[in-house]
Amino acid sequence: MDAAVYPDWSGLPEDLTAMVMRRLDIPNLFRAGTICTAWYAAYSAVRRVRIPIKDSSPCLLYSCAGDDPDIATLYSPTAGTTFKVRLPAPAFRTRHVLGGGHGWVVTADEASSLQALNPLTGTQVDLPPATGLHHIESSTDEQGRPVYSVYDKLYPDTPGLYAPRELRMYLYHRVVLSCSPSAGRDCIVLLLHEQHGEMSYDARLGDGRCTLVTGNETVPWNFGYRTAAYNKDDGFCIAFAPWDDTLHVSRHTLLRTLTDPVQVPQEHAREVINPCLESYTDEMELYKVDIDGGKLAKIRGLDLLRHALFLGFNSSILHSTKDNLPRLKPNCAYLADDNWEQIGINMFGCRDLGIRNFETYKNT
Amino acid sequence: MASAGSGDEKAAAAAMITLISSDNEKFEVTEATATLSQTIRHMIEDGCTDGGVPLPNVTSKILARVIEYCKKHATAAAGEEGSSSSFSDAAFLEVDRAFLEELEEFDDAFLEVDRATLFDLILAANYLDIKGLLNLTCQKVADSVKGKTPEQIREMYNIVNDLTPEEEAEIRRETQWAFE
Repeated sequence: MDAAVYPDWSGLPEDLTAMVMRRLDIPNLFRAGTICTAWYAAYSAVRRVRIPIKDSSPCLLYSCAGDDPDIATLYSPTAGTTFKVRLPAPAFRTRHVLGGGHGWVVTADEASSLQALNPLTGTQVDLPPATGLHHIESSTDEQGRPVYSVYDKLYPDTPGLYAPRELRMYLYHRVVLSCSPSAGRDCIVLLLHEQHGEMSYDARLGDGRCTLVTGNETVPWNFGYRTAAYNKDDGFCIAFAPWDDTLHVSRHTLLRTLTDPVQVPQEHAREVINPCLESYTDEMELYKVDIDGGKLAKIRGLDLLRHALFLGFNSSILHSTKDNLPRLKPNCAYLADDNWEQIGINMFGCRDLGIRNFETYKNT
Repeated sequence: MASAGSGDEKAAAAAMITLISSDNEKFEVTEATATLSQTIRHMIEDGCTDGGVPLPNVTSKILARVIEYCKKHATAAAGEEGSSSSFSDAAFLEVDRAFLEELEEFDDAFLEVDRATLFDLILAANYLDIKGLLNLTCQKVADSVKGKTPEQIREMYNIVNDLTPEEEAEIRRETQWAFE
């Protein structure tokens, strides 16, 4: 009865190997896919259901009202498919998304603490808390409830007080990652925040403190920043192209008056200054940054080399439409509201969403 | 002979089925034990179990283990059903928890087998359609793979890497970005 001591496990029927793989988390599943031809076939079958995308093309990440609060939905234009993932606590729906990149998103939870989250693998890394910034302290209000005190240079003796879940709306503009947080200490986290678009960075993930960027030769201003992208060679800039150009996009937004005011729910009435106003993108111009010459050179849509630009309240992305994204229109920009005044103005009405075609100079 | 018992439980216990392994060994089991296997349950329902149930895909060594599992889980199931009417809710929950703990201990001990036996148990659980055993054995393999490198997994499970270097590079490309 001692025959068949070592069976070759690649001989296990595919549906049974797949049954084993369904029980693995994503990193282990991906590793199991590289074992042999038979395991790769089983892995592929499981993966088609769990993560039906094969590259890092942009995805739309959102929370559906009908799902549990900790379930996120991903829509992949590349794969033409939608799938759901369950994410670690705190519940995804309760968080604000502040930016991301390299397959990760950065969120602020209801305590206004920041996390970097990989929605595909479910991996999560805590970023420095709000008190890691130079002007934020944690304290209690007169009733003894926890609050954050925000110090302003102009009024050093009277800090503004914010409830933990409200601070995130006021404090953070954007968060940009230099590379995947799984690289640990090599990852630089850049925060654009109040007051007035200041920049702080955390160069050593997990030491709990952020360093404020002060004016110097390479960064002439220390405030007013609204967006950033990371480029290994040039540091922070506006958007960078895979062919090593730095692009500067001017987006002119205008306000228009509506004949029918937007319907605002009663409880939000005091947040809306004028329900008859709507912000929209009127004109866009595309420039190449000539770093050596220190000036901007206007370029045409064709100079985007069949790439699509994504501009919104996250990191600016430039992505090729050639190989794997046939559904995206080339030489176009996909637009969404890109700053919080605009989001505030359009909150209950029409959002500034659209596609700008740089070849025909038309918005759709 | 089933109707000769004094109660329903005894009647069910009295109905015996003969299972015949691939190497012609005969095993007498109760119907309650045998019907944990959906495959055998269907055969009983179709009335084709007279003269024994031949199982040409299962050796006597593996069938003995499978029967051991089914006996334990059939007893646990019967115990739970029997207890529900005769205990108060709190006492019932207590008994329930004790049953579950005991079952878990049994399952853990049951899985202390070499990889060849585990392989055969998965195949047998699949062929006999015993859901609990299939879940248990697949989970055991999944747990053993977690956190291991591909090379460690190949060694553990006696698998030869038959992917060409090109295929391997392609798979790595399609999975690596998730770890970046």
